[in-house]
Amino acid sequence: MSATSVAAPSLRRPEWLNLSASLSLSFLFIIFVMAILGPMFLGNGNELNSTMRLKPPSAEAWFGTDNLGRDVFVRTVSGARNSVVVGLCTAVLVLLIGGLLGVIAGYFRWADMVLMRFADGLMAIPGILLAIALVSILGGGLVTVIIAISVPEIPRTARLLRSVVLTIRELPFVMASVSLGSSTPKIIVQHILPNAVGALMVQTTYVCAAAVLSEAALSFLGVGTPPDVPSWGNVIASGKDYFRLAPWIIAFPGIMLSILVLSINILGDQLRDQLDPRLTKRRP
Amino acid sequence: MTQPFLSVRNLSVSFGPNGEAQVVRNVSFDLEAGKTLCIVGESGSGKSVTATSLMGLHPAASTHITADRMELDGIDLLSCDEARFAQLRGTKMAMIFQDPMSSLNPALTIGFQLREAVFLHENLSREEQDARVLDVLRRVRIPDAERRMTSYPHELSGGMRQRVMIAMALICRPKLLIADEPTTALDVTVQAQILWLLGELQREFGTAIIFITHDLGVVAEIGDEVAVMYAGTLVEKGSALDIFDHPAHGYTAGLLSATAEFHPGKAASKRLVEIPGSLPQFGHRVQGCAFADRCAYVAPTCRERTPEWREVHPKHVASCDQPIGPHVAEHQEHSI
Repeated sequence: MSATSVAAPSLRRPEWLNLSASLSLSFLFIIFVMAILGPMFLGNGNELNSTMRLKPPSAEAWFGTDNLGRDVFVRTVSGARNSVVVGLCTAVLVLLIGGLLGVIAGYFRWADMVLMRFADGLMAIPGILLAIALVSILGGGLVTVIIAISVPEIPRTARLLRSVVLTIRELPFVMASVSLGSSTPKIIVQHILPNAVGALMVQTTYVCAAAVLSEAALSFLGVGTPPDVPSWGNVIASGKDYFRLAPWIIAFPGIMLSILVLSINILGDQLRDQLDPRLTKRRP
Repeated sequence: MTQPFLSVRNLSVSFGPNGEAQVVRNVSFDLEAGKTLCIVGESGSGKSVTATSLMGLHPAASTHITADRMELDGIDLLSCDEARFAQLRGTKMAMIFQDPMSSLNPALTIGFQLREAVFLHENLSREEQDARVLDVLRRVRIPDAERRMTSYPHELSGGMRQRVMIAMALICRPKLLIADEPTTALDVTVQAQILWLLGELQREFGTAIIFITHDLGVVAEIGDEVAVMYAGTLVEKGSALDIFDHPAHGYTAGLLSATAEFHPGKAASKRLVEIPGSLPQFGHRVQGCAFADRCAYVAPTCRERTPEWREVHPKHVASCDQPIGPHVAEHQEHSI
């Protein structure tokens, strides 16, 4: 390390805040603001206007209008709420349930066989098919969508955490703690979990990104949120028949979707690099 | 005669669902409070397994432990279940592990881990816990103890971490301390400090120590009693002085002649003598003495019958039919 870089550490940007991380954080912030304020100030964009059908982007309608004369800008901004809510709720649900099952499977050998064979079974079914099946059983709605997306993700997270716990439980400090008289719950909470939390956090960001995509796919297929609640998926679905005439209906929600998923994934990568000391890049 | 503090009779340990691999066979020893027993032997001779069996650290499903007697301070360890063992660990007995680098949780501070060890067994307030932790950190000579409490393990050196491990083992004042090669991963000067520290703490608290090592220099430093293990069995037992001066078993003699000697002002006088061959395989019980194939003093009868315990000196026993007398050792020296 050169002397100049040591001189003013307080002025330097923290190491984790590099260009891609700050860009994705800014995008995430904008999308969050859209999700919170959009439906409050702009409504759901359900007003039909027959004089404004399939208009290209203009000063009146920034992102153009769709085949029913609805403002694509309003629908895109308000649709962010659906993606964000589904993404976050799924991530938390999968984190809790998948994490719990993973720790149980990793620490208690008797539970391992049962849980992992069950996970194998679930993972054999394509996620989106399983989600469609669950929605058709449980009926549409936000909660159903969240559950339907979580179920195929839980086995993946559980399996990852199981393998992390399997390595940690064999480390000498666990034995050392047992030799001091620690009980099993104590060991799990104080020795296993703090060392597994990094992997779990990174996995959660990926689950979040995957959930946003799955929600869009379900809405696109018409089994997600009801049509009166705008979601990027159903906005894209409404524009798919007019793609050659009015590409803006698909383009704007599509771009937003890509940006959101990309930002979450980049943040996940950054998190992984920061939390894994072996990946730390040496500064010249 | 009073009951010794720790008494083990005919301890056997085998692993595998049907107990196929018998790694420890008929091990017996006694240990008085405040004394140090050194268990020496090469890798794989069953030293660590013997110690971890005392602590009850083996998974019950895949381990078979049998013994005629295994008592610690009047407590029958054979009848203890996991919950009882959890109570005994830390208060009655504690263990220091070989690798100080990985025996501390990297995600928690030193202070937290030490407080935890107190919290497990004693009902103290946060201030009392902190006071106890500070006290024990100072006892193991950790400089700047207040600041070290908030350090993470990676911020400490190897010797420092081993001191923290010792502090953690001693914080509840156990009566028995099992040290499983605690100095193997450390360099010689740090090793000397750690040994000195263990001796001092032993004098202060009257702790009995079982010290597992393959380093005979360490044994000479701290051992009161020495038990030599070979292929899962004890082959020789006696006071440290006796064993160093008059080894009776061929294996002990081999171990001793395999240590480097250094005489100031003299060039190295002899080549290191190694013990030829390697440990017999488990489950491959040979007839007669297990060491016969590698023994420099082997007689034809050694391969035919299992050796008996013989008292070669008062309180110095060897499981050998051809114990090396003083004259044999002299003869050996001449031939080199």
